[in-house]
Amino acid sequence: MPKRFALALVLCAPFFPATAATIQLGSPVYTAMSNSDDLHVGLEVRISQLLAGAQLGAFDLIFHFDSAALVFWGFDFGTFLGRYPDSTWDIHRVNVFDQNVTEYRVASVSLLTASELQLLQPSSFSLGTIMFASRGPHFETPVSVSGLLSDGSGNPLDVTFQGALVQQIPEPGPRWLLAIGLLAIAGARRVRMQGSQKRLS
Amino acid sequence: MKKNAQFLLAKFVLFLSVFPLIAQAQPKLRNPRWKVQVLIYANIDFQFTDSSGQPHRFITSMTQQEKDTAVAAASKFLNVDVPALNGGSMVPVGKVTIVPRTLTKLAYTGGCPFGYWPDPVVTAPDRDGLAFDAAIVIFQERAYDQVTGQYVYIGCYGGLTWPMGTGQTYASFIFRIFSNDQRNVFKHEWGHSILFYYDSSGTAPKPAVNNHINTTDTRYVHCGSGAPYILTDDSDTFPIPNSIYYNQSGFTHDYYSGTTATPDQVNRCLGITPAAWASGGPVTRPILNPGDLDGDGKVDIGDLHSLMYFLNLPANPNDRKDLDYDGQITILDARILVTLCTKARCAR
Repeated sequence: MPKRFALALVLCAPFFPATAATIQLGSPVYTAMSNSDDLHVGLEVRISQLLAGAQLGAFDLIFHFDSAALVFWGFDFGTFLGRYPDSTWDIHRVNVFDQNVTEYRVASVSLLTASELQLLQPSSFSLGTIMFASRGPHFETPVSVSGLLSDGSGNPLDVTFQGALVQQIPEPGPRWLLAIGLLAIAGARRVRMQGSQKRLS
Repeated sequence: MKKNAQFLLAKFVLFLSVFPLIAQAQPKLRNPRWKVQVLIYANIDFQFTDSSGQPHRFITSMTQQEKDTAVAAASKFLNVDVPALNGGSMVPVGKVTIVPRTLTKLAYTGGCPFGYWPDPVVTAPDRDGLAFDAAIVIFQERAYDQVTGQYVYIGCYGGLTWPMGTGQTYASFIFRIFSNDQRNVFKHEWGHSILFYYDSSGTAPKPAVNNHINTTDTRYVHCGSGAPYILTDDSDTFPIPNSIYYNQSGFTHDYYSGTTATPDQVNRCLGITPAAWASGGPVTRPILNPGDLDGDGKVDIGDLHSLMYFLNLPANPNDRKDLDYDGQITILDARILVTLCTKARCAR
């Protein structure tokens, strides 16, 4: 290999890092809705393992979910690409008022420079939180995410996507708890009465 | 003297440490990407009468495995080989189609008893010269002659390329000549087609390279060093250093990247230089004033707004919003536009 070529390879290596990152939906956070058995479900959208020297300049994500179990409720943008409207341009790509949608699309472009993003972003940070409302008290359904991410210069980032399973384990309601308690008391009294009858005989 | 050398070394190390930041802060706009239409003719039913008056009817089709091989080889050529050969100056965008219609016409190209071939006229109905810079045609050449009951090979060459001036380039191949493992015929024939185009458009240095290199009257050397080439086919399994393709001294690499020369003028670099690639192709041309979508002389939030309205839609040929030339309006184009904004935060 010619020496000049070898030198060029060595010099170029740090300037063109293989960019990669992971987009992960966090563990669901459930919040009870007033006057209903239904729940609010929040999933943090987190980018991690962003290589040193790489920045996230924009994202265009699609969330897929089962509209029989979940209704899209909203998306809260994070601040690591800047804040809307001064330093990001954010858009929602579906009619958020349509309760039958099975995918939600959101895009954001940072207006900050690559160097500003470099200072702002750690290797792992939150892109935002996607929120759903459950259609009933008991459900188990996957939420997946896919899309396209750009580095600070408009180059695609090589991304691994990880979805989440949203589930609510059935819990006995207050009326059922009362009924079970009363049955237990009645059962205990019966056992005690049977015991005393045996002693009398 | 020694102190001076140390100072220079320190400066060089400092430059190396800040260079990545400089490179990231000032992104280089990409070169136009050739849009390549790959047409695979899986079915042929062709009748003709030879010079002795004997009629023939050639029927052939490709198996699914053969179609898959053709798709994989063409894709790998466009996605891997071309960027490697041109030094990253241009990454083509390919669209591969298995042509549903049966090819019933072939042009006589001679060279052997059954020298028939799908030439540019025969394939014209399937080619889109307004949307694609280049056409690559692949056809199944092993046929059954229904009249004589014999299996025959049609076409007498591995590949043929027609000079098309400044129009859509045209390179064509028989299926048998390449495989998943080696695509040398693609490199050679497509090499013809790009040399023809850049010679006609006048954007590559003259004289144009003739890629039928030999050891007598058509000789080339590596530009600058004057090193001769060792012409050997390579494959993915056995890549050969200093072959026609594999490394920086390969002839195919050098004329694809404008670093070959004639032995009499070793410092006059010929071939398709980065400047030639930057001039675009027959259809895809460089965007003038990139990012200024409304033509007001500056790039601002209004331009970004216009682009985002078309997010995830296909780009038209020479669409000013398709800043990375990939044929789609994506979030990548939006981010590129931001890097081109006249004022900070893309202010108006």
